[in-house]
Amino acid sequence: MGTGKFASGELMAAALVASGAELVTVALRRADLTGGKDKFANILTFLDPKKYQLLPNTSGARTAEEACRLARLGREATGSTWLKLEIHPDPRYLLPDPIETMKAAEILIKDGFTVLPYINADPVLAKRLADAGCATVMPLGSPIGSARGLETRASLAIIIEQATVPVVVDAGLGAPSHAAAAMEMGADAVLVNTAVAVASDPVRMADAFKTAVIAGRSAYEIGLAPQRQEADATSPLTGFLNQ
Amino acid sequence: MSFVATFNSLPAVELRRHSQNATLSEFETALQHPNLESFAVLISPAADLEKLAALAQKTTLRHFGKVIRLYAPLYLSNECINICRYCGFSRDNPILRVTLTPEQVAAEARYLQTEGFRHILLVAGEHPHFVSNNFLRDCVAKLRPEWPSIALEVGPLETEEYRPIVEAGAEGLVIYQETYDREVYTSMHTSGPKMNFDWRLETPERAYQAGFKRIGIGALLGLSDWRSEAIAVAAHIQYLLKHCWKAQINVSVPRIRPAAGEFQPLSQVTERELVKFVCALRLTFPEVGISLSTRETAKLRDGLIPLGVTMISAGSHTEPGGYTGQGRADLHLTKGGRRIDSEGEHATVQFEIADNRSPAQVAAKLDTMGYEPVWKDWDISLNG
Amino acid sequence: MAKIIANGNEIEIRQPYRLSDWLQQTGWKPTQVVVELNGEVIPRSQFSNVELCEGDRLEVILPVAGG
Repeated sequence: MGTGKFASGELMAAALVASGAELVTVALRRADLTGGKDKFANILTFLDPKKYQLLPNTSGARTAEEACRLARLGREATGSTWLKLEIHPDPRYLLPDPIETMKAAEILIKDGFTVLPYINADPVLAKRLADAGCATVMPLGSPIGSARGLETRASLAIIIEQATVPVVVDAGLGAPSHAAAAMEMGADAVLVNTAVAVASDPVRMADAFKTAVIAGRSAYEIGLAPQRQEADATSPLTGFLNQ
Repeated sequence: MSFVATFNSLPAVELRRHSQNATLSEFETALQHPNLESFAVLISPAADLEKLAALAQKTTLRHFGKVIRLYAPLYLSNECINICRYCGFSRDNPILRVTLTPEQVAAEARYLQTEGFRHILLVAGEHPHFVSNNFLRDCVAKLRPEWPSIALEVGPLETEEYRPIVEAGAEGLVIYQETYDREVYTSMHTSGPKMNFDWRLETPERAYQAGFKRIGIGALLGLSDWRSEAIAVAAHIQYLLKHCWKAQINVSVPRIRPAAGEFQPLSQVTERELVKFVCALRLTFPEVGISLSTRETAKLRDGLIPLGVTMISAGSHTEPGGYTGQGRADLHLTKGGRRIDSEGEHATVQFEIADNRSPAQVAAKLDTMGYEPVWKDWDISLNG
Repeated sequence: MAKIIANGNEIEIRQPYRLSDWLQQTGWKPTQVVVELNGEVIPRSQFSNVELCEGDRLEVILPVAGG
């Protein structure tokens, strides 16, 4: 679960509990030095590190270099090497930069980070990041906050089929059904933020997403029923066996 | 972590049972979801062969079109330090042996060029002295200028040993596990480095690390129950597609042929079963190349081309010097690693071939079938 | 007095000034923030051993809500 866009720290904490999330992302920003208190004071006070694996992200970084700097600050802030590597230079669609992400991933992996890269649904990039040592790949379903679901479904299917690391579908999941669909395809997890945070009742929406994820996973494990298609019979192709 | 771990944790018994008693409706479902579980169903007795063939043809056309890649095997040496009960080259077979010099290899290769081939598979027994890594590298380097695509089928090596061979210009490596049944493997390989099952099983991954672009695997059908072997081969392909994702994975489906040492196959694999195996492979792994050598008859090879076979050899000789008589003056027996000079017409073959058509005859038949023979598909120089 | 840049703003500080003392007057507890001095992350354990001096570039970073 992402922790952004919630109306309050308390509401966010309640939604996290309802979601059953295990990975929780946090961002990094400059502190207000004028003595006034930030609205969120410090988010870590709402997040019990024993219950959640904290995942500082590098949002705000537009280059590999900036991402590496934020990563080191994040490691110091959370005391964990886990990192959501996200580099999006375009503030409008917040789509990830593959080149800077690849560059940063290689540096950070050597520096001992557990890198979970947020990427577009690019199967070759996913393989190269896994080869480089990323712990997972986190392809987007559709742009952050767009709530358009699995627009990248075909590429996601390829990534999931070829993956040697867990696949987390992150971004654009606007409804529980999107999350269920991702899990039915074989995704290992989903990362949701906006759809829960801006819901009229975030706690119930978080619970709805949890249920959808569990349902989708079960369906995947059971194996989906076949779509009935009649294969057209052609002339006997194996007639040569009878000669 | 390598395929050995995955292989050891395969639910082999359950998959094998499912490949025996799957129902027709399970067959229908299996056609929808290509994976290892459904592959077991596609090779089951319940699988309708004609329906399987129809879908395999459609899939092959979609992925490969109407082209067949032609290659020629060139045997460098029939020396070997392993004892393998099924192979003509086994160390304990008193056969006429020879190892060609790079120059003799080049002469054989020139003949194959005149036949039209541009893809060559260099084959040799495993022998640290007669068939050393440097010898293999020199042969590849010698052929590189004329041959755009060179592959090797030799004893397994370490990644660092493969690298100079890749740098000399080899792009493909073929390594058959022979049998994926550990007990049968032990009884088949009684002496020499080939006794190490796991080390051989990891060879494709070591080859990938060394930079080989095409990797061929397979089981020698007839050593053990064919359905168990088929499932193991499918699992191996699935693993390699995921972990050696930049390589083209190919599979071969050789059935045992008569060879020196008169080895009798332990299990019979009928033509219908071989066809079912090829179709199931094609449906489960649409993009994997399937090769069929001159071990099989013309009728079976021609019949299998539309159903999934994408690479065939033609006019093959399975003994060193087979094409132009190179090395005849150097024929000898090998006992305890020492040469005993001997007379003879030609070196002993690895196995009898069944399709004796010339490359030109095979190409002509392909034309009549509406397939284009591809003599040259890739050029290693493009790899820079 | 010495001029330093903290979170992008130029400020004047008395000399000598330990980082831990300066941080206290901003109201942030060491456990709440992460500090980067001239591009290097300073572990919290070192806050009281570091002296701020002329021209230092200081970043005080806070974990906040984010997706």
